Amino acid sequence: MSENVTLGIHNAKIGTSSDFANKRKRQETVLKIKNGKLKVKKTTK
Amino acid sequence: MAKWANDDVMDAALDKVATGITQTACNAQPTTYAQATNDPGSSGYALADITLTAGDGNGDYTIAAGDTNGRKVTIAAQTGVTIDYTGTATHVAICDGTSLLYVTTCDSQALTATNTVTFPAWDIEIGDPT
Repeated sequence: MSENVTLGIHNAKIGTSSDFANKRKRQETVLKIKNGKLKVKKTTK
Repeated sequence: MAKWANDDVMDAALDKVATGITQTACNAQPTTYAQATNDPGSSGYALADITLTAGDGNGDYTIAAGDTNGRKVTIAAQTGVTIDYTGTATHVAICDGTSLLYVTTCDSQALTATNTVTFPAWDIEIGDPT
């Protein structure tokens, strides 16, 4: 007798992978004021 | 200033997915049309396949607002699909007549030839720009 099984298919979201999030993080720029001067720091995580 | 995209832009991508006419359960991630549509005995990964009716609103594809924002296409459930080849399904692929269009994952599921498998409804979503 034939049996039926059901797949547990995962829904997909385009452009929301952790890799994508990490790339955004690496491009982050941080502005700080130190001793009255503006310092620009680009994160390279 | 907010980033913004017309729904038509996202729908264009989802319409492309909706040109798919074949959905297959695969035992590995296919990266080519041949892998997605041929069974393991023919150098492919397909264990079961079902024909889809292409086009939004034609029965198998529905494009609508996303769950939180953006847009999504929902692929309708396909029940009682005959399994052609025994193996463990790990991926589901959609192809048009010549190209592999989209691959998603699924829980590992043992499939036995001549039995049947149900593909539940699932969706592909594109979020609004952030």
